[in-house]
Amino acid sequence: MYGRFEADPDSLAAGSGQMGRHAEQFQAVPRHLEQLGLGGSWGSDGLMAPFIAAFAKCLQTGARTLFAQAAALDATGGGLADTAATMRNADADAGRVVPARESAT
Amino acid sequence: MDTPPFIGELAQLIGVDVLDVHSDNVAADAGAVSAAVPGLASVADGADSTMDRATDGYEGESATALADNWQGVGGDLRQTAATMNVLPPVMNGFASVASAARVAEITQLVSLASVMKVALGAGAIGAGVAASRMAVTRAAVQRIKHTFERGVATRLTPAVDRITLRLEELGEKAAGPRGGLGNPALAGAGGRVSPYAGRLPETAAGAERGGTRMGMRWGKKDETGKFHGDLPRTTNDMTEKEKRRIQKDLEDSIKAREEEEAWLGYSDAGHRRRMEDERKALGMIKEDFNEQ
Repeated sequence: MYGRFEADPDSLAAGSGQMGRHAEQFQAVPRHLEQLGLGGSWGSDGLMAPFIAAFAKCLQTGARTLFAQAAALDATGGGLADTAATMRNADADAGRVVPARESAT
Repeated sequence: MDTPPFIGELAQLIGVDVLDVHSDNVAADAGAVSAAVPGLASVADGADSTMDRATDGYEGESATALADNWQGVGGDLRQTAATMNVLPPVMNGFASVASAARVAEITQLVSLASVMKVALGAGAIGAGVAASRMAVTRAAVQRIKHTFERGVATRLTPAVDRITLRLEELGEKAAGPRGGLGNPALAGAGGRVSPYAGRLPETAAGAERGGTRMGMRWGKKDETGKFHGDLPRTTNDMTEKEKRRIQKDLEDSIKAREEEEAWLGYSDAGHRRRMEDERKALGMIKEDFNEQ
């Protein structure tokens, strides 16, 4: 027999909203780190320059990666919303095509 | 430790700069990175729960696709947090070796100051002592700088670079084959070689072994004070002069390595092994002299 989705499009939609908030929280971290200007106050001795440069590059790369991952979180949230919408449309279509009958809830 | 003004002047007199580093700021910045990491991990955990709740009971092909995609995303968030967490200890390591170098330099200058005080009161002989002591101090400060630079270049900077590379890899994964951080060398379908696949050459000792021979059968001391190249295994085919030179070079090298170990604060296996080898070679040469 047909299995029936027990997943609730409403909870998917709620999850989507929540995931968007997670994405925002996540990207706040690299944004904050960028503002701090880390590495800028360590001193100007030439002997330190290579390490400071390596550190700056590391932070930059980390920030870009974190932003990319925040975007992925956002995209996942989008996926949840799309899935919810699809399920609702499918239900609506099914309701139209098949005359209303007793459907187990 | 702020530079006392008379130390700054003395440094100028002998023609060196005291290492300009603010270790407190380095440590503070390390703390800032450290503090940022838990926030990442907690979002990752929260997102996991959100996914669980949202997809509860959801089955089927698209459910599987969603779950698989999520596993990649969620795992990578945690990995990134863990990778970033490796950075603060390296920063603190840098702060402490920089601070140690600075203290060592200032100590040299303080010691010079007290010699100068006595010597300059002692007329012509004193002037000679002062001049010679100034030269010794200058050489010592240069050596401290060399040791610092080498220590950072061989251990600390590469550690940071490894973290950077790992972060780049994670970034490429996040954006997928179409996007990415713009580094085509890292992206690409499956043909990418992970820099972590092979063992990275790490120890300074390993790098040192490639010293030039310059026509000699054994190594010699370089400008950082350390012995490079092959250590002698037997004294049979050495002239007296060669033995003496090598003995002196080894003694200096061992002292330089001990100093490096003492204020760099750590010594990896390769470094320790090398020091051990040098001590043995020195012992052999000394024994040889004693037997005559």
